[in-house]
Amino acid sequence: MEKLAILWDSTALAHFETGQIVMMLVGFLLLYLAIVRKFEPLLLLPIGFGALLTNIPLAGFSEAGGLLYYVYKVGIDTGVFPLLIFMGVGALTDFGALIANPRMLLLGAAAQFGIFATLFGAIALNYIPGFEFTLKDASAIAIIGGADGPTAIFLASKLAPELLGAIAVAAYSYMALVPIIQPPIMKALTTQQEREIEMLQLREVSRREKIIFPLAVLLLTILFLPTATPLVGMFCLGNLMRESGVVDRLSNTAQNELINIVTIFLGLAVGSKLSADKFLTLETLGILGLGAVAFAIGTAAGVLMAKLMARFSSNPINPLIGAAGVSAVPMAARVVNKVGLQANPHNFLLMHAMGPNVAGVLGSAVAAGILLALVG
Amino acid sequence: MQQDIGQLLIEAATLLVAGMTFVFLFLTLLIGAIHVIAWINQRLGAEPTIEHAVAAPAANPTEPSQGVISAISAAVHQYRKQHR
Repeated sequence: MEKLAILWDSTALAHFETGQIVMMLVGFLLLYLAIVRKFEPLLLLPIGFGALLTNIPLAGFSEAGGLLYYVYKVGIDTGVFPLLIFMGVGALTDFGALIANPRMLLLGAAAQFGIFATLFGAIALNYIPGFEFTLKDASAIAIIGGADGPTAIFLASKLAPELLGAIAVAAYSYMALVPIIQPPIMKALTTQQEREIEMLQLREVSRREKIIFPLAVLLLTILFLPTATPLVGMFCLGNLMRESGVVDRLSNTAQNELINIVTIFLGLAVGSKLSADKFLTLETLGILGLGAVAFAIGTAAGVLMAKLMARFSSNPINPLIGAAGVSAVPMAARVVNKVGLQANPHNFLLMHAMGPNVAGVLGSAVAAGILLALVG
Repeated sequence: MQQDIGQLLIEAATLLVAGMTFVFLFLTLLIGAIHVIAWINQRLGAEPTIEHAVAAPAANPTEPSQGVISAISAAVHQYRKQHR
């Protein structure tokens, strides 16, 4: 009888807490979203599975000595994983469309309004009893509006590690929801005529310009915003490997094998932060709500800026491309293209939207650097 | 407590203004930099664009050029026609 009691005691059934069961259900929900609904499956699948593993009673995945504990310590606590991913993103990014039409950088800048406005909103939430966001917490939450997973994780790991799970899940969920969140805002702020505007063909960009560009970005960051150099530096390294054309092997590794390996561990480590005591809180609800607001404001600011630019520009500008300023590469640019085609079946905006789209990546990295410098 | 939040709100508003100003200044500077790069690029004169760079290996002296290959294949074709 005593043996039976010991045996019972060694099963998970005897140790399940309600919180763990709820978090496992959250894990299953993420797996469902990834597998059935195809929401950012590359990240939500490992995150969902990480959530399952970390909530297993007695297994101790996320306690000192457990696998996920070390993966988190090595990769996210240090900021290494998001930076390696950023290098891969740099190697995947073609700045040609931006170099051909550099004014698109202004759209990438305008869309960052979503970040800073949300920061304000997060602090204002403190008026509701139960919320106690510090300025650091608010900054880490606001960066969801940058629509850039690695940037959000990097900043959250530096400013508010205890909120990281919720922030990462919100960031990736909303990036998957871009095709649902953005079009109504884009349509509400533009007229049919504006959406039909066709833009001029972009000029051809030489290889030399593409090689000098990442170096110039890095130089400016070094001079004016050193706190952003971890993100921008790795991004520029990846991009230089791509454009220089002399290290194709390294470039291919950065944009395929390396980014894939890191993605597996990044997802698992983020999932390990989905424990009941950290996730089942009122704050998580606040973070999910604020994330959606950040996305919406960023999109609106981008579109409005594009309308303003169209007024002063000699070349026609379709205001829809402003929505691509909220990074989320390349999903946001595809959404712009789709909404443009709905208004005018002969209007292909994809290349024009790629400019503000990659500008948005730079913009959110710069915004992250500013937040680190002023709040960190 | 309420006063604390007020203080934080003022700080957040300062961040909003300072942050947006800096983002715009930085990216405007980058626009200038891109224009300078484009200008320098033009001054340096015609450079093989990416398309040309890809085509360039054909000019490798150890490999026969496109013209030579087509001339040879035309000759072989004719030879086979005559010596059937």
